[in-house]
Amino acid sequence: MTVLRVIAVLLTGFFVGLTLEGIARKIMARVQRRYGPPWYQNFIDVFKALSKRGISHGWIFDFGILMALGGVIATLAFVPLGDLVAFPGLDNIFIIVYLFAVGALGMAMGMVGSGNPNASIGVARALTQMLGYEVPYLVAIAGVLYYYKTSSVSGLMMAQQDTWTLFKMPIGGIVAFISLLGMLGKKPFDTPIAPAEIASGPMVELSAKYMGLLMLMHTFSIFVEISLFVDIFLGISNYLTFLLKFTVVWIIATLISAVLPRFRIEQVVKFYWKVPLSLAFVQVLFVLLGWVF
Amino acid sequence: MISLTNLILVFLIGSIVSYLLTKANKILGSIFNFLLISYALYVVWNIKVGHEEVLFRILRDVERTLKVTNLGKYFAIVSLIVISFVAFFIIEWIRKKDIKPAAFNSFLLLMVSGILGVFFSNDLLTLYIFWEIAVLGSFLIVPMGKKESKRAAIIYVVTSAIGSYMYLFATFSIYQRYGILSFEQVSQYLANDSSNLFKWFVILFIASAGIAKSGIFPLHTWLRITHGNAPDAFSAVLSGQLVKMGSYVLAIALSVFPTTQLFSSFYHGVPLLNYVLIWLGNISILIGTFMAIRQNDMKQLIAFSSIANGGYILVGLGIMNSIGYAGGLFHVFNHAIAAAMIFLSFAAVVYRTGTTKIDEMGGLIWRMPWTFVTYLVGIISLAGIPPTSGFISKWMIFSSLVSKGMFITLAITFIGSVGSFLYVFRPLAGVFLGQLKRKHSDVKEVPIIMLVPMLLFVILTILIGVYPKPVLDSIVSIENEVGIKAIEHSGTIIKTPLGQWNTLTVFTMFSVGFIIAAILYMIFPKGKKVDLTDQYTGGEYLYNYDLYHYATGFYRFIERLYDKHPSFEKLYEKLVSFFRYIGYFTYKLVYKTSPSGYVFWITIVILILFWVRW
Amino acid sequence: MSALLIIIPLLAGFLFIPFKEKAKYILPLVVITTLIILLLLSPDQTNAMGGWKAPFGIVLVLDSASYYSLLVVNIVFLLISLMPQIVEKGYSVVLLILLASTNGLVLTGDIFNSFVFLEITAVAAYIIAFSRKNPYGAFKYLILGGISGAFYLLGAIYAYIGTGSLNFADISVNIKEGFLPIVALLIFIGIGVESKIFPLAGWVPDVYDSGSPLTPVILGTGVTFTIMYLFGRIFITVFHGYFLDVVFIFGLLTIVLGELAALRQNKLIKALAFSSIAQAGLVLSTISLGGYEAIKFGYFHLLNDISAKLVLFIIAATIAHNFTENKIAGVSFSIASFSLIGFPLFAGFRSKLLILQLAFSKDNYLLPAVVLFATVIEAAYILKWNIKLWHSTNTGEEKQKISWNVNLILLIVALLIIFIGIFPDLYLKMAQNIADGLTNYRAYVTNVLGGM
Repeated sequence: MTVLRVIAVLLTGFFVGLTLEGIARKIMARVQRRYGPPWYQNFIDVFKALSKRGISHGWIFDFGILMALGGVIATLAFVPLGDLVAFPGLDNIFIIVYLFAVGALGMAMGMVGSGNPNASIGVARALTQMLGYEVPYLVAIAGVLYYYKTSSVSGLMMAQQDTWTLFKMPIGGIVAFISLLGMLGKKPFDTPIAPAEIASGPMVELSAKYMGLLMLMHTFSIFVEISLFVDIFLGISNYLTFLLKFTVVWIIATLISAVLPRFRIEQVVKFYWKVPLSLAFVQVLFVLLGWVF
Repeated sequence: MISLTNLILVFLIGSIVSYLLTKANKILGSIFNFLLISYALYVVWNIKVGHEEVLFRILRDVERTLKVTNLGKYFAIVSLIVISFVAFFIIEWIRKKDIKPAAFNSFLLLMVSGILGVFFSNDLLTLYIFWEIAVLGSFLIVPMGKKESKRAAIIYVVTSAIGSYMYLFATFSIYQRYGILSFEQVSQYLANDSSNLFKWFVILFIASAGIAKSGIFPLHTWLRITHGNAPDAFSAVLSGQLVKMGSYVLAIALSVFPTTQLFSSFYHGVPLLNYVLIWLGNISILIGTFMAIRQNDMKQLIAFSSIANGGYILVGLGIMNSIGYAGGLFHVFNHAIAAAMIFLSFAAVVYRTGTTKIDEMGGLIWRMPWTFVTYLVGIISLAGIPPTSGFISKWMIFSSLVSKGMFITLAITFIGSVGSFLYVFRPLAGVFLGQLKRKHSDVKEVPIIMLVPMLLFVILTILIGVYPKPVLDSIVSIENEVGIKAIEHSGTIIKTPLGQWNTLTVFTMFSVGFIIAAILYMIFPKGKKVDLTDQYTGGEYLYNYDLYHYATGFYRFIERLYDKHPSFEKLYEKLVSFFRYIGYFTYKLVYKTSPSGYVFWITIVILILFWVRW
Repeated sequence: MSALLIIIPLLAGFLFIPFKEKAKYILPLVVITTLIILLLLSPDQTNAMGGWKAPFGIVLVLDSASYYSLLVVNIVFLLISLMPQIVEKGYSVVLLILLASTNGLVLTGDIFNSFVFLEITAVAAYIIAFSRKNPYGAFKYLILGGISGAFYLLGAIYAYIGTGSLNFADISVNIKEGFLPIVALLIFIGIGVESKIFPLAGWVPDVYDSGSPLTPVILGTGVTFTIMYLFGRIFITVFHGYFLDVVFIFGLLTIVLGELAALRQNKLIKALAFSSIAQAGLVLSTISLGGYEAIKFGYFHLLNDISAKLVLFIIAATIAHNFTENKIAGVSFSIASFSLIGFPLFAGFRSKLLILQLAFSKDNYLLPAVVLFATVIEAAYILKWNIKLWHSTNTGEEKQKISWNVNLILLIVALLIIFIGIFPDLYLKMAQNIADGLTNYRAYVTNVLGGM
């Protein structure tokens, strides 16, 4: 049964993730007054990339990509999608956040293993950006955990019987959403992959199969990140309403990023530690004082 | 079974034997060291908790005894695992290393004898005596390292002395007030003592020995220079073991003297004293993390990370609830193993390349893959990423902080945790990945004897990460011993009031994910293997690929934000030069003047005495 | 009988003035003779010189305090005499005179007589301290010693006015209330110069750094011990602990400022000289805590200190470059310095521990704090020198070899330090006897004055 649920989660991640990415490209194009690719473009991209013969920079390069994809797949399996929970009771928020880091580390290692300094710069930036967004995000989440007295994600979701956490703790919700933008690596927080500056950063040496696998990893990561936000802040949902909420969040994020320019990396950290972090502390203070709606 | 007293004596005598053996043959002496330390591990492993021995007497009415407690046994086993592995590493390492091998081996055993005594002391004074022996042994080894290690040793011993003398001061105050020194009795007397001030003073002063040793702010400055410059293999012992002696004293100060019962709650069941210590831990985490990000010397980088991790341990222990205390203790194990394996892998790198500067290396993974694996698993554990054991303790500490609602501390531990991703990646990218330097093109992997302990550490870390039961069991017995509610666990599932998780499921799922990825990888066409120099260069033709490597100023963009940070090392240097200035002033004024100056001083003394007396 | 202890070295000294070169060989014999005599004697006897009974004549008092002090001083002289390499040409005669005067200083029961011996000691010390390299240091010592002698003499005169007698025992019983402060003050200044109290002991570093190993060794061990004994005799036996509170403050100042001054020194021997000052301060302030235990532990620490200093000074003055050539000397040096700092397993640890415990039991929290602070500083510079000497690389300079007998003696003393660190009873017993003798005023008075 667990195996089936895991497969269901992974397949959802794969199909919905790639579809929504395609839709996002479409939306982005429309905002920028272009026609844009079809919604299934990302499926084409992934399979095309996977089927080509590329180049590899040695075993650590390959291993890093495997570790990245494997880590993210493992993470995704723990994320509850509405009422679809692969491992009930074990979906601890910290596990998900830190298991997620395995994938990130794998990617970073593989890409730096390619020996291209652009990749190293990109990874250094990505890690720095992580230092920026993770702290306010985790503090905001910690407020929620403290309030509901559980750290299980599905537990957090089920606890929102009367109202959504977003309305109970609006400031925390906003903080988490801003952090989510950073996690997604969308503009204005796409410094790590800035194509014009550092030749797409980590991805600079990727080709063919490797590119394809990493695109998959990216899709799954996005899925994990948004799912967590939906589960924790947007009320109880079953599988279908979950996907609906997911789509809405994704589209909002896309719309925001479509109209913004890029931050410099130290601006990212400064911003996150000034605005969202202080807001997160304000929220936490409210939680401690019991000022929760 | 040999008694503990005899074991300690064997080590004291063994240090002389080891000197002679190593004089005769370096490798023979090192093997002797390894066997002796492994034997100690065997003895300690099998020793019964509650076992008592009378040692010797110094003060009247105080029985000097050794007593095996769960806490001490846990720390002793962790320490001896680390030291015995390192001792095995040394068998090969000492062959090439340009140090004084005989003295090195001999002092190592002297240090171990002190360590054994520290963990099994039943009273404050015995602990102090063995503590100083351990400090002496380690102090003598430190200056055999790099050029700056001479200064490092002094800073180390002075910082240590500040802490341990404060400890001694408190010890004698206790002895004066109660007339007893054994931990149990002291904690009983403290519980009945009405003077809050005295309790504060005693616990803070006793904790200060631990603060100095485990590199907690404000006595953290010695770690950078000492760990950074000590002999390479010994840095593993310093960071993996000696620092844990400090954690042991902190654990005693906080839990054996039951702080939560001695003081009233200040914030959600945490007394103010613990809160102060937690804040010291917080500051250590911040300093350790942000300074580690800046370092270009890999050993100094991990030295700063030791400061941060010492802070984690203190935060965990300071919370003093079931899960936080367990997290702190578990982190002792994790950091001991992780730091030891990281420093050993660095020692291996230095063994082959002779440098510790990150930007002087690169691409060593192609020459030393197993060393790289050791480092990789080490940092995964250090950064607290599942499926290694490092995550378990961090998770426990986070959980307890959330349940206590200590959000600022929580934020700081998050910074420390995410920051650790940053700084551990710097040597990874700079030393092991990237372009291989031309001068390192004929570097070889280290010999098998050095690899064995490193890889054993790797296995141990992952094993405990997947199956943490042995460590959790000892933590449960420690918690029962000091009267904290024990954590609930069933082998691989760890339960907290906030929820649970299963290490085995996580590991299995990770393996499954990895297998899925591997299947995908295999069904699609194989890539062509190209040289490391076959790179995207933006169309430039490169003559020197040594320079096509990003390692200098790796995090420059974030370092820039705190370039003007206050430096405690400089502050302390100022303090020292102030003392030196007073000394110089005295010297000039009193001791170096002409005879007429002396007459002046005699007159002054007479005048003062007359004024005081009449 | 006990007069022989003074007469034999004095006579030998004068006899051998024409044969200065040969005096080297007679020195150990004389010291061994005095030691044998000392061992034959039993404590608790008073010898009136020339048949004049106390308080009218000079008496030589041999009680347990002076007996064991003599033992210590003579053993120190024996050790030095067995190392003829460190005794410069012609100084053997001076050493004999010095031995006579220190023995006299310990034995005498008369304040004016003690002044005479103090001056002889000082003169011998001036001669030893004087060398071509260091005339100014010796000159300063001379001036300062002269001044201190004058104060001591003045104190003796006031004591005479106050009691009508010069006998220690008599003074201790009969001194008039009003005279006590002035006598104590003057004698404090007189002894303070020699016992290295803070603002008075300006001569120490310059004199110790005279270039010859003999100066610091003999002044820092044997003479220091004698002066400390004299201090105890006068301030405890005679003044019954009066004035010790002032000495305590000066002792603390001496500890702190001595250590701080040592921190800045660029020469090992000077740093050690300051350490010697600080240790003297520690001993004085411990004794000043008052009470039997304090005196016992103070002298115990003094014993440990001179054992360590004996090794340290000899090595510091002979090889100041590195230990890689002289491993045995290096080991002895390190052991002595660890003892000085007070690492466990070494002798200094035992005495420091006891002193701390004692201070706490007297509710004195200042002394432990000061001692611990000073120890931190001491650890810093002593260990710095250790590391420097063990790990220095410049082997190009003149290689000084230490001959086997010096090495052997140093090693024996070093092993003794470890032995005391583990089984301190030997030293403790000596210190206990000294403390017994010093604190037992009544017995002293009855001994000397014969049940008056």
